[in-house]
Amino acid sequence: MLKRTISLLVIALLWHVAAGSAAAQYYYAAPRPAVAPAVVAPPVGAYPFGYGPYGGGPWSGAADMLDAYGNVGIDMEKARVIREQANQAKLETQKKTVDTVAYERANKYWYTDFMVDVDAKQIQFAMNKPPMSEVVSGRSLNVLLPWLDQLMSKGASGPNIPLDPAIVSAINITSGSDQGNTGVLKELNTLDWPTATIGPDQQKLDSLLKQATNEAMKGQVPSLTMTALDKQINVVNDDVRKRFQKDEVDTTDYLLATRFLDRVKEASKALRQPNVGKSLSGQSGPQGSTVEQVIYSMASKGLQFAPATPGHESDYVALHRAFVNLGLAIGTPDTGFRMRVGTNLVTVDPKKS
Amino acid sequence: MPRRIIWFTLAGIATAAFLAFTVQADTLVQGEGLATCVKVEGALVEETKAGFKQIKPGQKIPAETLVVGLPEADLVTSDGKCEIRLLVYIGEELPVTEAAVIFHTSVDKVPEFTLDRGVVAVKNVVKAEKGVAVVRIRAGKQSWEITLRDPGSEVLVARFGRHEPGTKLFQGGPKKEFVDEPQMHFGVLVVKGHAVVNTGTHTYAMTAPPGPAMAAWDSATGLEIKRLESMPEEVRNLEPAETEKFKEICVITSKLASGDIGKGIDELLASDNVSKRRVAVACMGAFDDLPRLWAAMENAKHEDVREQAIHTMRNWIGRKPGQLTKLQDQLTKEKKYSAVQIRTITTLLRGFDDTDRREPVIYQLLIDSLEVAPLPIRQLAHWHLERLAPAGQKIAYDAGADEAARRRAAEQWRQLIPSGQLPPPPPKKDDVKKGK
Repeated sequence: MLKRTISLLVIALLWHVAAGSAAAQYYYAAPRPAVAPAVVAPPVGAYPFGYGPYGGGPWSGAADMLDAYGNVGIDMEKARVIREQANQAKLETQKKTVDTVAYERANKYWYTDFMVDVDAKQIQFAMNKPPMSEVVSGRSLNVLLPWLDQLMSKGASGPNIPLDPAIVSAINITSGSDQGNTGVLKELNTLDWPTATIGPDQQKLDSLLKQATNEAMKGQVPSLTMTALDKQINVVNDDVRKRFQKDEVDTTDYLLATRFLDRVKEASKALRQPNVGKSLSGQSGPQGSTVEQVIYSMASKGLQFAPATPGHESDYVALHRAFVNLGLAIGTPDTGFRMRVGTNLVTVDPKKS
Repeated sequence: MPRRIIWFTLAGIATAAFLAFTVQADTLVQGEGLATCVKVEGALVEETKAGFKQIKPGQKIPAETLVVGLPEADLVTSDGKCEIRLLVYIGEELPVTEAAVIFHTSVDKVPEFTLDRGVVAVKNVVKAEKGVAVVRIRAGKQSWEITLRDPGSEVLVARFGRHEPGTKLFQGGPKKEFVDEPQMHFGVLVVKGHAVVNTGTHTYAMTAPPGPAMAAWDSATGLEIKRLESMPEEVRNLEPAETEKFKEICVITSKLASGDIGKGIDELLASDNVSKRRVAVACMGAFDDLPRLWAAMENAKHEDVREQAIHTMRNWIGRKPGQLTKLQDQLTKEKKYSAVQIRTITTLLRGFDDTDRREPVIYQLLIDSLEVAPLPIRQLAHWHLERLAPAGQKIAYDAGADEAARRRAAEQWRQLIPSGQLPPPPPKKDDVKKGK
């Protein structure tokens, strides 16, 4: 009997050791004391053990051992349950992690969202009476161009808004990179040189410009011509500056002259481009007699609007108005901006319909 | 301590529906005093044929006479219901410094005055528990009747003008320097209680913030009623340092007004005290002393005099149409400046708009002017450069210095703003503290 008891105890101990790292999870049952305590009334809530007139004895110990053996089994099962709960908790955490990431992804304001909003606001600004400087610089038109092109490519179509050919020919274009502006070159024969520039140097510059333009129409402008042109622009620029410093020219005339010469510099840049001849002859510029045609011709060639030539601001204003009218007709950007056209709201009584 | 309102801005005016409006109030023959001077801080002067004469507390204000506060004064209307306080504006936001009014006799005995320029406070001082005070205020072609509903209700009224800045020509029109029509601004801000503003065509019930507190009109965009959630920050009590400065100004102007004003201004200008010199220049504008004011622009000795003269001159030319023409005539008469230079001076006094500020050529023009132009043009150019390109404020430049020194400073400006480029952004406050 004793041997069997010891065997059972060894088995219980071995089982305990084999349980490994889960030892900490085991519920530690306080063993019964080998010696029964004095027979006294146990305090309230105390573990009642060793009660009896004899307080223990060998049979009591055996019973305790069997009890412990049973408890070990129960505790091991309990530990398995707890371990399973822990594993479930891990899965729950993983699930919540995925949910949180999904929530963030759904609700976070990404950079792309920001850019979309910026674009929408720019379109709204360009549609709602932008300042004159925005229109004549081409910035508003360059904002509206891709938007209208996108709407048209999605199948939206609007009314046929005609455009005066004079307006179309007044449009200055650029391919987007710093390739100059041909605006000045289109009016070489009627160029209104500012007062502060007038003089022999300006006359030489005028003839160089005409020469370079003629050469561009035939092909590439020779580098010698371009060098002479750039040099002469600087000569006239310096001349204007000296006149201002000598008080021969007032502030307004100085600014007029400098701004004009900046446009001549842009024209010089344009003359260096290989296909400037096509641009000057209108082949690579915007074409069409309606707004939609002009938009298509520019978007399909990757063209953008360059600033208006002074004196042609009204052409840009008219073009901008035409763009706005088309935009109102075929769609509005999703900026929350809505425009009510007309107030004839008809309500239908369902009983009568 | 009574609340001083020294700073008031009507600058945040959005475009409103344009109202064309003209009301003419009948004016009878000049009568006796329509208001009484109650208190003066500094000096209060009236314009007479013999020049400006001091008004002392207790004196009645005659009708059809320009009265200027230097810097502040309290007046009470003849019906005893309204207190009108002429305030001083110290700052660069509004193109105005001192306040000036002209009282008129009215048919219906409602106190009526023209606000010639500046900022005034109008307060209901009726002693009864419930008492309404009415006052009519003119500003050019505008004439607004303001009803202060409760005792203690108070409004600020401002009027000023400024020439449209910028160098771009009007489309098909004359050059800007030949256009002498400043944009005029007129407005009312309710600071306490309730007021009813009748503009002649519309009546608005207004209240101190939060609520519809501001009614503003300008010649370009018309009338707008603006709701304010709180009082503008600029409307506040004086700081202790500002109070001391204010007292100093009062002492200076009080002495000035009690004697020969022209002689007094010259003495102040020759003083070693910066405050006295600045007050002298401000008084030149207040007294319409254009020859002295322009001479201050040419003062080779003191840069602070020239700086103050620019500020005062810009306010002066915007006071009403015709001021710019007077300046141009004065300069032509002096025969020191060519027609080209006079036009340049006019352009620089107008200033530059947002479109100009985005053009590199403006900065090159100003830098070029630092070297060789006449002294007032050099000073004006530097004044603009410091404000358009704050990063260059660390460059020491004196328009009155010799040519070599000016050239060195101009070269530093050119290094800061190379040709064809815009100026760099101003240094951040933290960088300034770190000595960057």
